[in-house]
Amino acid sequence: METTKKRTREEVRAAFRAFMREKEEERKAAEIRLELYHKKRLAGLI
Amino acid sequence: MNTLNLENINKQAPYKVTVDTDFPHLFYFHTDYEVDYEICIKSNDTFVPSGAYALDIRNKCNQPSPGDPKFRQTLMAIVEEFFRLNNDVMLYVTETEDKKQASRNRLFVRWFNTYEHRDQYIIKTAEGKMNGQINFLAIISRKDNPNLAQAIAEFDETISFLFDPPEESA
Repeated sequence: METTKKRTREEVRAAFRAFMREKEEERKAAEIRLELYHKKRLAGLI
Repeated sequence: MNTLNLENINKQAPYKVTVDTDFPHLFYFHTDYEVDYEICIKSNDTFVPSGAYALDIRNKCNQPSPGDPKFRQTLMAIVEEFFRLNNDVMLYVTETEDKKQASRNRLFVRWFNTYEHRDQYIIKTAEGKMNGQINFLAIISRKDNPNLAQAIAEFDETISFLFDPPEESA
């Protein structure tokens, strides 16, 4: 089994904040993708 | 991640699921309530360094979803196909400022707990505050995952670091 580096509280919290920032950016990108999906669906392409 | 079989998903899903051919980890469907959804299952090692997949449920402008059993069944069809082909760990993580939204965030876990094959899975949740935000985390895995013990230990360690100690929570 692969061993992982020992993490610190600060590293975990920083990684969590980065994850949440990325999640928010992804949510904004998803709005554009969902709009495209909506248009394709209305056009009968899906 | 092994690519999910769309045909298998659509055998179980009441709503027709499509996949983005350029991004096979993104799934789409449209509900009877005129809401379009994107379901994302993406590799992420933030919470479980030995490897996990984060589940995200997105719709436009965070539209609220009324109680829709077809939505639940469609989502679970995707999740079930993920676990059929990937004996890995799935994470569901949300962050919110208000308790009402926090309750909605826990909905996925409540659905999972009523899933017909629930007995084949282990699910562990954690909830706490970090810098004033309520964080909700869930780890889900098949019980026969050979890396389950390590994944749970890593998840527990993450939680122990992540949340404010009780005396810091206002």
